[in-house]
Amino acid sequence: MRDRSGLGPLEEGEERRAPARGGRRRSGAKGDVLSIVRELRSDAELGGCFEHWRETPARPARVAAFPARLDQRLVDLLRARGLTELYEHQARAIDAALDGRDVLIATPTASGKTLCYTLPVMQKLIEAEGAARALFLFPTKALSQDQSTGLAALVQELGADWHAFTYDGDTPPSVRRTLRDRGHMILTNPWMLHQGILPNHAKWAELFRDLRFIVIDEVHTMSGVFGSSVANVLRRLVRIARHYGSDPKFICCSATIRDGAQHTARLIGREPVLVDEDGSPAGARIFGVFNPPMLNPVAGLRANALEEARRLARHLCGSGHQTIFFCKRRTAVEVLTRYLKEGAAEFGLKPEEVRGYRGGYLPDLRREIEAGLRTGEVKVVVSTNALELGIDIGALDVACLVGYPGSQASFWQRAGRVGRRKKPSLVVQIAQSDPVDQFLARHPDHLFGSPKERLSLDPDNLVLLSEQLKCAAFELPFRAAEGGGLDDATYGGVQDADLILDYLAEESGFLHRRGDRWFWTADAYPAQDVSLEGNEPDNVVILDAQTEKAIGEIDREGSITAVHEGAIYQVEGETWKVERFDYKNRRAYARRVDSDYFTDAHTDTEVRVLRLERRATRSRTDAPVADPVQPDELASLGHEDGFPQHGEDHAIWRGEVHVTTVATLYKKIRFYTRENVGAEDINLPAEELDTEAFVLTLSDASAAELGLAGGDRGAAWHGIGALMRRVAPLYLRCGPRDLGISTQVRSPHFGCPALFLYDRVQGGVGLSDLLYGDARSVLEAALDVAEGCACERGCPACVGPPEEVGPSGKQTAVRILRHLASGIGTTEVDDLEDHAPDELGAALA
Amino acid sequence: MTESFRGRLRRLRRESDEDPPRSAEERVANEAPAPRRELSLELRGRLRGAQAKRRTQAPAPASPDDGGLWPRSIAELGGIEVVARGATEDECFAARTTWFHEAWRHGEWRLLEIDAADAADFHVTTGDARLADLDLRRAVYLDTETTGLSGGAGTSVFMIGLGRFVGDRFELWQGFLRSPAEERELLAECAQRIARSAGVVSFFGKSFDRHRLEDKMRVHGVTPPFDAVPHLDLCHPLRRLYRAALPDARLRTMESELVGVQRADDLPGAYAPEAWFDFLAGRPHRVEGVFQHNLDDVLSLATLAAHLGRSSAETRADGSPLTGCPSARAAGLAKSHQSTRDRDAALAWLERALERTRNADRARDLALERAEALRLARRDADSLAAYRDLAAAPQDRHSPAILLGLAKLVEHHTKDRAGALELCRTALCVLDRQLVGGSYARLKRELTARIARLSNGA
Repeated sequence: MRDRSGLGPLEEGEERRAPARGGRRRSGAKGDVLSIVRELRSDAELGGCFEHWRETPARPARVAAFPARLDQRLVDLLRARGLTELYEHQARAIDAALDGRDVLIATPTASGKTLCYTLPVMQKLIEAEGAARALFLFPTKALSQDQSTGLAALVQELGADWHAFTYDGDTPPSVRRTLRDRGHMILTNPWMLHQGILPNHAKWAELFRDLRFIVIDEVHTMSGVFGSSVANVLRRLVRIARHYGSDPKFICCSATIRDGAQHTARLIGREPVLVDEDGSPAGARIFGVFNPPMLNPVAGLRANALEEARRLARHLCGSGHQTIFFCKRRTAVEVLTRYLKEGAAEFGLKPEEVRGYRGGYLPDLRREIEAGLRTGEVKVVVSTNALELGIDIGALDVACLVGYPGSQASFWQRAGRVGRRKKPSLVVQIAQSDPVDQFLARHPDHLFGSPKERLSLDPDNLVLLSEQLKCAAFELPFRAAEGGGLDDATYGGVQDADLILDYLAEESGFLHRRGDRWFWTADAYPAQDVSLEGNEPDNVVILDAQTEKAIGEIDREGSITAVHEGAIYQVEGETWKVERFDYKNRRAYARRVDSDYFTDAHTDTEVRVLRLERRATRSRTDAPVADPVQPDELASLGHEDGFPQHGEDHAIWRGEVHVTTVATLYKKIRFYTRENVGAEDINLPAEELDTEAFVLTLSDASAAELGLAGGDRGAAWHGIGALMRRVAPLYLRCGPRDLGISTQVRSPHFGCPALFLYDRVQGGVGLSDLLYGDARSVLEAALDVAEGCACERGCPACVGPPEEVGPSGKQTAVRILRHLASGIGTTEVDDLEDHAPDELGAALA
Repeated sequence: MTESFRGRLRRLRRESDEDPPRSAEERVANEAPAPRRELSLELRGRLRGAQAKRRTQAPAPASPDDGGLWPRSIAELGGIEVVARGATEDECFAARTTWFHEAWRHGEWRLLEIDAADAADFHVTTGDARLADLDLRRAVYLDTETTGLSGGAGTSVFMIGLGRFVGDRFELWQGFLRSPAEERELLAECAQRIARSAGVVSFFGKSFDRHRLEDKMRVHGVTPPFDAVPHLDLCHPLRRLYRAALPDARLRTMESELVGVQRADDLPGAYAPEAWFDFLAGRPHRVEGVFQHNLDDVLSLATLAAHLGRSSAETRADGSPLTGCPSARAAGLAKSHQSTRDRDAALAWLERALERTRNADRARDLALERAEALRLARRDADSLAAYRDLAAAPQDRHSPAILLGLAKLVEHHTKDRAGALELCRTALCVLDRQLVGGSYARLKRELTARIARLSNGA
């Protein structure tokens, strides 16, 4: 009998709830997960759609004694709560933290991570007789509320006069002062830290003087622009702590991620001790992958996943157990909740036992649903990712994921919502038509092996870095080091930081340099204007032209195709026509209309190479084209003589590019029939983006032998790029929209076919690096999806529909991918100098 | 080479160098795609090489100000001394001390008039008992100039004006940062001066100056002195006494209306940050204006404190009447006494306020306050009479409050619950027809609750 969190009130422990659940509900065979599986497998309609079943056996706990240095009072308290020992990983983590090491605990949901950071903090507080402080960062407000309640309860049981407070936007100004002076444990979030605490560090002097631990939960959510910004916020935090004379250690928690220690090291700026061997016990878990039936094999169209979830619900829901459905969008949550409430009687449930849950619900309602889940009153919950993070809802029995959530970490967090120690649990994953879903439906091993995704993080992105340096300079002056660079504990090693400060001093006027120091000298509060998510000030707000009320927001890059004059902007099924786009002031004015068409804008994207940093190649000798197109076909392409069997086959590159995107025209397309009912020009300035890119080039010779040429066939090349972009999230944490794509059948820079996948963040945050590192895997996944797709000539689930890739597009794409993804891989070479743009251009002209 | 890095940074930050566009033509020109400012490989190589070279070189040349302890720019200001508190260049700051004879006239008041101030008035008007024996002779008069109002660690206090009486003279000391590097020593000196004093006098200082100083002191490890000394913030009491008769409660307004200070060529406080930033950039021309502005502020603190200390006496030391609206002051003093629960004094001041006011509507306000004050002083019969008088007049915006007050007395003094209920109902009717004023919601709540209670008991 142990409570995994070690913090929750007694009645929340899972087994202890069992008697209350009673035999009544569990009497029928329905309640048993194994019988649900039997039913599903034997169901004539549904059974065949399960492409895989897999069972992970029950796993016993691996335990360890309490570390000897833990204060007896703490040990007694845990024993009183029914906790007689720790899991191995908990003991290791606690030991490392008490040794003064930075720690990363990367274990699955419900493995008792809370205790890993709570105990070291409490121990230090006891040792220092209250003269120690800790700062906790959670990615959501709800999480910090949850945790502060738990901490407060623990402190109370210890009989200590310490205080744990949540400090966020909801904290009333009247209590903020008490909290600053008396809070031993401050629970907050990165945004509040960035805009509220750090710029006012003098008011928090008590906290910073005695700061021993910085606890960061869910570090796997900190990647991309957000993660890179948070990394800088942490630099600022450590810098201020040092100023007040403390040297806090980090305790980080994460879902299981690839290269977690490396990611965390970039985030916190120091190598953590990695604790990732989960010692917690688990019941058997059964996974089923459900692939909705193919409705139209030619078009590659499958049945709608939400409808399939509804069909599966007959089996998955019941009165004897608890079921959770995860949907990707809020609207889907509402639709499915309605379906399930309507059908509740069919599962032997009352409608009120079925609940929806998502962001946007009022806090009280959310607390009520969470409590209902813990007590077992709520039998079915339909949620967005809002229930993915560590909110305490107890362990449930059946999870159904409607669509792949987009990352492995999310998948496991969602799956981790089910699983009681003594009972088997079930996870059903419904695949959508998306390439990634389909890939995973064929290769569930991808999910079960070691984690495959890398997180991108680049704290030194010049744009983010310069904004964050501004905030840091506001907080404390900077000092130059002798011989260049900065004399600074956290920014000292950051390249060009001194040059940025000079820039901010001389060009922007925010700083004043005197001798070797930079001082903030501006009447401004920079953190207010610096967002952790990127360039929000550049976003375009879409306003109702009549009331001037905001109806939506869109990022800078997307605005030229989505809110140009005449565009139909859609919000939850409503159609709005954009009347005016005030480009300069970032506002678009739209009027509600009943439109029978939507608009599709066309853009011209031009990518120019500024600098190439890495290159890896494969030669034609090493991997000849296995199945070259016939000589007569080559002749028709103008290559009747064939090609020498040496030279370069293909290469991958990483470099810096300048991207110019111009929206040219838009088409009006009728809903349903997709009939083109007209086109108009778009007159907007070009969007310019300076960023980092991954480039794939194919030599002319290999391209010709593979049948790739200009015109119609060029579309196949684009199809490959589009597919790579779609499957990239299998290996790197990003959404497809985070990557931009541009393909050239004859690149002016390389003189041969080139395919660019670029980071859509100004300056780039490291995605191109990750793509470069995992290019082969991404190509293999793309090949697998294209080959495995049942469509004949291309569909949205693989390389794109025939209207886009041309009649033979899929065939050509598959041939190229097969060539690139087989044989030996590329080898890194160090001859970038030979490929200076001008020389290349001259040679190929 | 720095240009190239800058160019790149500027390009990435999307800051154009011709920003902001000034003319219409330029704006049109800017509609065209921006010219590309990319770095060629060659330039990049040069940048890198140059950076590497730079790193091995000696530190960057010092700014022109570093030639000696005396930045050229400040030497042009008169009367400045450099206070060196330590061995290094940064362990010092600039200060100017201006001496005034205690008989110095600032506006229409002399500084020595602080001697006639009655500290009991400070207690009454602020409610702060620590001020009951504040000795203005031993207090410091504090006013600061900062780089902004938003607060946060980046807001600097670049000038601290501290006045104090020394013998028969008033020493007006103004510490000034010639560079942000001197901050710590200036703050330490300021903290000492405050700690040695018997109290702080400021205008809005409890809400602003104190916090800016405390924040910066904590950053520099200087113990903030404020908790140990009483603090008279003139803003709130003067506001309570005179706001009703003045357009606003700013220092500028108070000093001109109450102590007759008329400033010529004053540099508005909002320009002070700019003036200092200019100074740092080698353009010191406006700093003298800031010194003058700060000096006038501090002098006004002394005379305004003297004025506040004569509130109850209502005359200056020489017997001449005190400036400032007498009826507003009387009403304000009544409120002050009411909050210290001195009911009799409050009543006495209300009587005076009533005598002095010539505005009928205002008189009715005060009469209502008086009726209520009588009730609070437990003179129920007098209060009832006063409320009856008020109720006899034609209905106006005061009627709901009058009827409510009457209802309370009828219920508790006359013990007529039915009558009280009737009065409350009438009051609610009147109130609902009026729908005016900020007190609507409060009255509505109170009346509704009272009606519910009275009708239940019936």
